[in-house]
Amino acid sequence: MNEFVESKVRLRWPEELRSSYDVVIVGGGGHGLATAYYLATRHGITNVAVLERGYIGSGNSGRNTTVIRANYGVPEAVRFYQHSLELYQRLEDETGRWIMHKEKGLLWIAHTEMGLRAERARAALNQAYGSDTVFIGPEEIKAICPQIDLSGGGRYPVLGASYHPRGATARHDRVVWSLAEGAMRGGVEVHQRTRVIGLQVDADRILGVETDRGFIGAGTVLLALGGQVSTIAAMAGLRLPIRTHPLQAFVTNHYQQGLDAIVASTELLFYASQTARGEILIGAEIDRQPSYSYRSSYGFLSSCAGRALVLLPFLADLKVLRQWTGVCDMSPDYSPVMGPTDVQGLLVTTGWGTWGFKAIPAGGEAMAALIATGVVPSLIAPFGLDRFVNDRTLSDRGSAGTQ
Amino acid sequence: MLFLTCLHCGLRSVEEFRYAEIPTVPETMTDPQAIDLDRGFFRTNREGEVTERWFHEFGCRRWITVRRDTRSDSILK
Amino acid sequence: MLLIPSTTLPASAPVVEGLAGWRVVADPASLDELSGTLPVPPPSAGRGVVLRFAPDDALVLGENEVVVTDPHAIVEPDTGWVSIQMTEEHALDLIATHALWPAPPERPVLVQGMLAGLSVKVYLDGNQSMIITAAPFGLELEERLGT
Repeated sequence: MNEFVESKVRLRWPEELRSSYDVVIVGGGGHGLATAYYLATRHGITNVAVLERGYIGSGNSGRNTTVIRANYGVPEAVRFYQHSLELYQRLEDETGRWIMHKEKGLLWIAHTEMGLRAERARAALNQAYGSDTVFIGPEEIKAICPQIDLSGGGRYPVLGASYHPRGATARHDRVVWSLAEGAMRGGVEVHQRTRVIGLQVDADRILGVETDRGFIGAGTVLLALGGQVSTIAAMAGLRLPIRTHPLQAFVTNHYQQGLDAIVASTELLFYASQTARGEILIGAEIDRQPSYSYRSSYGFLSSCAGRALVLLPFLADLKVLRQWTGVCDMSPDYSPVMGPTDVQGLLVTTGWGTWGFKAIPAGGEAMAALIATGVVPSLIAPFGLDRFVNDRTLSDRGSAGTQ
Repeated sequence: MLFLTCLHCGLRSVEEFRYAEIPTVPETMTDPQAIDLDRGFFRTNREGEVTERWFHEFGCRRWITVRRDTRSDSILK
Repeated sequence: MLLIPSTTLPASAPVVEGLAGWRVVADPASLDELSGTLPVPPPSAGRGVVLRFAPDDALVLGENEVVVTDPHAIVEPDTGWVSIQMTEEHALDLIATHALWPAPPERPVLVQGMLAGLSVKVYLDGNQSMIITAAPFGLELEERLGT
C-alpha cells in the first residue's frame, strides 16, 4: 500500500492479539472483511478478529478481474448477485471511500446457434428475476463496442449477445481497504501475518483457532479464505465440495481509454475490459489440474491472447505488460457455498471460484446476518452445504465465464 | 509451464493432456450412501502430494499415472 | 504481422494429401514382429512403413495386406488421416518453431505431440518426412504451418 492510499484510507492495525473474541474470521480478503464490516455497522458486533496470513487483499481479492455482474443462469443466483450489484452501487456512499466503481455494460457474445439459445434464455431469466439483461443482435453489439470484429475472424461469427448494462468494474484493492477501514472504525481488529494452523473442536462445537501467534478462543469461526479452505476445514474433520484450480489473467500496457464495455465470450473462453489505468485486462479459463501454485504459464498466455485476438483484432498491436495467477475454489455446481457446517459455530463462505469479487458485499452482508441472528438469510439459504445432500444443486456452469 | 512424461511419447507440455482425478473417500466412511455422496461431490482437495491420471490426448492417446505436488505444481518421481 | 514478400519460393510448399493405410490394433509383441517383417521403407516414398501410435496401435502405410500373429487383432482400412510431405529440413524447422518438444535424433522415427496447437504425428526418415494429422484438421494445419 502506498503513501497516497495510507493518507486517504485510515487503517488502524492492532498490536496485541487477545485470547478470545466473539467472532474470528479466517481470511482478510473481500468476503472476510465485508462480513466484519457488516457485523460492525449493521449489527453492532465488534468483538471480532479478522486473521490474515499475508496482508489484506493479498489472495484472490487482489488477483481477480474485478467484474461486477448479475447475469447468472439460475434464479437463486440472479437474485443474490443482483443484490450484490446494488450494494456495490451504494458502497462508495456508504463507506465514504472511492472504490472506482464504474458501470460499463457487459456483452456476453454468442457465436453459435447453441450459444444464441443460451444467451436468449439468460436474458429472459434475468428479466424474470429482477436483473437487467437484454438480448441484442450484431448491429447493436457493434454500436456498443465498435472494436469487435463481427466476422470473428471468419470462424467465430458474432451472431448475438446478452447485454447486461449494469455490468461494472471496481478497483479490487480499494474495495478491500474501504471495507477494512469501515470495520476497523467500528472496532474490529484485523491481524495481518497471522496464520491459522489448527481448529479446536470439542464434541462438534468450535472452541477457537490455533494460530502461529497462539490460541484464540471464539464463539463463532467463519472460514472466509480462498485457496486453503479445504486444508483448514479438514482440521475440524470437515470435507468440502471444493477443488482448487489456478486461474490466470494478464494485462497489456497502458493505453488511452477506448474499450468502454466488458466483452466476454464463453465459446472463445476469454473476457476483456479496460482498467482505469488504461490496461486491457484479459482473463480466461481455469487450469485443468487442481493446484495451489501461483505459477503463470506461457501456454496460457499464448492461447488466451490468440482467442482474444479473434474477437478484438486491435489487441494485436498491444504489448503484454504482466501476467499473474490466483487460485479458484471450484464447487461441483459452479455456485458458491455459504452457511453453517456440521460443526456448531463453524461457518464457511467458499466455492467462490470465478465469481467471488462480484459477491463481496452480498456475501458479507448475509454471513454477518447469519452470525448475528443465527438464522440463515433467505437470500443465501439455497447456497448451503446441505444442497448436495438434498439433491438441490444449483448448476450454473454457463455463467461462470470459465470452464 | 507444467510438463509431463508420457511413457510412449516423452516429455510433453500439460496442454497435450487431459486431467482425471482419482477420487478418494476417507477410510473411516462406511455407510454406502455417504460414500456415494462423498464420491459425487466432496473432495479431499489435498494441499501436497497427490496421485492422478492424465490422458495423452495429443499423442498416443494412452493414460499415465502421475504423482504431483499441488503446492508447487511440480511432478514427483 | 508484417509480411515481407519473399523473392524465392520455399523448396516445398506444404500441401495436404489424403493418407490411406491399415489401422492395426493388436498386442505389442505382434506389432513389433510386423515392424520387423516389413521391408525397410524406401526413404523418399514414405510407404511400406509401420507408424506406431502406441504400443498396441499402429497405422501401416504402403501395404496391400497386413497380417499379424495376434488372433484378436483388429485390422481395418483407415482413411481418417492426412499428411503433408516435405523435406526433413523443413519439418525440423517447423518443429523448432511450432512445438514445445524436440525432434528425437533416431531415424526413422515417429514423433507425436502438439504442433501449432494441433495434434500431429511427424515421421522422419532422414531424408523425406511427413506431418500427419486427423483428416478434419488437415486444412487448418496447412494454414497454420503455411504462414
